[in-house]
Amino acid sequence: MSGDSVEMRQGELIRRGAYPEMTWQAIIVGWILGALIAVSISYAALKLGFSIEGSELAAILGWGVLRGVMRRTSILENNINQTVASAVNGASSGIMFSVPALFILSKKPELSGVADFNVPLMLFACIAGAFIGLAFVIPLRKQMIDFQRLPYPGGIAVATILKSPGAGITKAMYLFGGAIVSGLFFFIVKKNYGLEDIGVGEMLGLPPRYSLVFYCSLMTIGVGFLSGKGGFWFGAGGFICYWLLSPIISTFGSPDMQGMVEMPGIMRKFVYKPTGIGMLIGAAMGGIIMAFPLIRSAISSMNRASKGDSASQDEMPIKLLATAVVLGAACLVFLAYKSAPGMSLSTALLMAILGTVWIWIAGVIVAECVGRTNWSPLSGMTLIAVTILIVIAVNMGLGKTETIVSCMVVGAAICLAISQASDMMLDLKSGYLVGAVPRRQQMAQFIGAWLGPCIVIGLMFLLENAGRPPEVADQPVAAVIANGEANEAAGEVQKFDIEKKEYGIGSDALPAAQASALASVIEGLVDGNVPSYRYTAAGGLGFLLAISGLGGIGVMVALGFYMPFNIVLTYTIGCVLRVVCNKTAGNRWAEEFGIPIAAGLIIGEALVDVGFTLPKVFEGLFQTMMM
Amino acid sequence: MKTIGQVLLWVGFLSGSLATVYYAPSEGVGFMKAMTSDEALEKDFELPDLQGVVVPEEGWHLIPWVWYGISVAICVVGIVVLTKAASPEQQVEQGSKLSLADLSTRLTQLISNLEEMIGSIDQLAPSQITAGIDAQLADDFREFADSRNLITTEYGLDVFADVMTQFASGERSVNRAWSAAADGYIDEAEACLKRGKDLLQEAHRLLNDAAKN
Repeated sequence: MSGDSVEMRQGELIRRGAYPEMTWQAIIVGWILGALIAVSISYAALKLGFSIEGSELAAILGWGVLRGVMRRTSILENNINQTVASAVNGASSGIMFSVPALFILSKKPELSGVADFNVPLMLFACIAGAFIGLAFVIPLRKQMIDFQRLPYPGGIAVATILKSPGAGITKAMYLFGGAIVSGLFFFIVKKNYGLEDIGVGEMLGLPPRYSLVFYCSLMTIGVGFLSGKGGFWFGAGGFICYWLLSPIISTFGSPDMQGMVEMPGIMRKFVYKPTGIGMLIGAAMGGIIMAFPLIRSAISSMNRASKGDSASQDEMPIKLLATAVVLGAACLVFLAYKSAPGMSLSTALLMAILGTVWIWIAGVIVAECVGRTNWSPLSGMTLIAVTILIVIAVNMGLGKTETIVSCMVVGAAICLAISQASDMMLDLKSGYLVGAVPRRQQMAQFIGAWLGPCIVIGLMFLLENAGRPPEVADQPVAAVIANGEANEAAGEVQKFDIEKKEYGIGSDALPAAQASALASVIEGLVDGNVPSYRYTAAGGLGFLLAISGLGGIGVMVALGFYMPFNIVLTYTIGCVLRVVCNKTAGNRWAEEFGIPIAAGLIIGEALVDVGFTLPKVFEGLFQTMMM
Repeated sequence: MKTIGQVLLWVGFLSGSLATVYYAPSEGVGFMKAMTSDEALEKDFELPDLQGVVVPEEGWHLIPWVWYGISVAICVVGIVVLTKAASPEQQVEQGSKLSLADLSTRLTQLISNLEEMIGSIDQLAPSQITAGIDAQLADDFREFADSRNLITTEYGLDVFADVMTQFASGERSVNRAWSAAADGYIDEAEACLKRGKDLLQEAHRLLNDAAKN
């Protein structure tokens, strides 16, 4: 028991004493759960190509460990636990979508040196990046959560889990009912029948250009429900692409484009996705300009913390955060300078300054996207970061290998920063809903953020090196390739062919889809192949939408361009359901019961998915270690 | 005027979007050219006749800039018309159903309900506190928040920031009281309800001061 003394009132337990929040128990359990989740999700990211948000899982596991096993009795303590755990797990997507690209590229003989990067430096970059991202995004809490009141569907789901012990049996039944339905649906439809999508367009005889395909996911419907009416603009972006632009191009466009619109996947990959990325950047910049007066007011309000304003005492001091940003930027200069031989101080300075500016812009973009839709364009933002860095490095005359290594060291820092920024805002939203003190949650995030990179980078090396033949296990990749070539020249049979990707990251066993995509883009970038024309044109349009005075629609429409349309369609079903619920059953019903059901839909699918992933993780880890 | 502004904005945006995506990138065309008829059939897709189609060079010429520029100009005119046409009242969020007087009344109601709850807290079981917060406070919090942009329209951003800082902290404090009560920590729940009431009173005072000035 956590309370100092216990008594009964009207048959209910009353606890006297301090209400536990930021406790060692919460932090240690958060570290342990976070480490477990980070290992599982990192492996899943390499194996299956996707990452899973860890907050909900951490909240549920924390609920079981803290309340069930350790007999702790505080919702807020579990909130700190999930904050720490998800901060640890933030490294899984941040690192696994970026750093493995180095290992994949290193399997090409001309780039073999890129995998032999300075590991402590990379680790330091990831930790520094995580801290800069947090220091940048924390001052935006007031603007995004208190003033704009962004919905953060994932944050609502976590808060619903955290509050479930006190929410009463009916609400808890709705929550768990939703989770069971969603979990069963996922198990039967996706796992058992392998049905990912429902091609309604094909059933209706519509041409493929309309892409009327629904993603089979009750979780996505739940997310749409939690986003509500505001989520329609996200849908609008997708409808503009596939129901307006594609049919027009199909009628009036050139033969090649007429062909391409009939393959929505190709159209998305080469046209709509880069357009969405450009639009997101433009919309975010416009949004920052429009929100600047509000951000300034929010920061002024935080500044009053030192003057004794009661409402502002819950915030982390702005001067401390500003110092962290400056120190972090200085670290980036050092990291860039030390990342590759031949790096000049001026190049390092330029990379660090632009990297720091990008962390802020991308942090705002991702925090806002997650806040409005629960989807994070992390990979797109990382791609832009790497593009900026490569353009600088190439123009400053760095060699191919040096360019790639230095850009990935700074790029990994940026990726971690963005990942931590969005996770922090999501956690702060759950914290708001359960009444946590923001300052304590922010400290908890810092306490967890350093551990993730240590675990994930360690795991990455383990997976990369564990399958190597023993005689080359401790050699750098460049030496392994040189040995292979020497053996071949001497007529000896090679025991394995590094170029055929027989082991490690990028092999058939660990395809690392996201990092592979980044690796191919990096190769293109180094050779000067960037669709900057499309980014620029789309950026202008996103900027105009953002300054139109119609709220945050720029980012939403841009995200609709960026995301696959099947997800957009299913998400829109959730939005429609929320509007219908509000109209027919009333706002109160939607909040009292609709939200727990929607949160349950999110949780059920996530848990079943993780449940299926975990055995694969341990089986894969075991097999890799045995090779 | 507002409708004209909206039409211009969206016509400009959609036309600009079409200009942005109208010409095929070389990678995409190259991908299709590399595709065999069987592969296309597998995807239920009829390969277009690409004989004679030259794979375009990647680059800035893939955007028709004159068309794009005209679209952007139309969009900008739409934004200017929208900005000029929108009176302060029209700038308020569509979902807003309350007036400024209603906002003040919501705060008064919240404060009064909190005082009542604090006054009787010694007789309440924890579940009655959480139920009381859900039943007596949730609607007023939500309705105030939904109409919060009225404050910006009428009194400007600084007043909005000050009022919302107090309001949001007050709401968060009441949320904490709910969590504490759900866990049985009755002293913490009482302290948080009192703090929430103080913060909402401060929000109310700031709103009234702005009205007087």
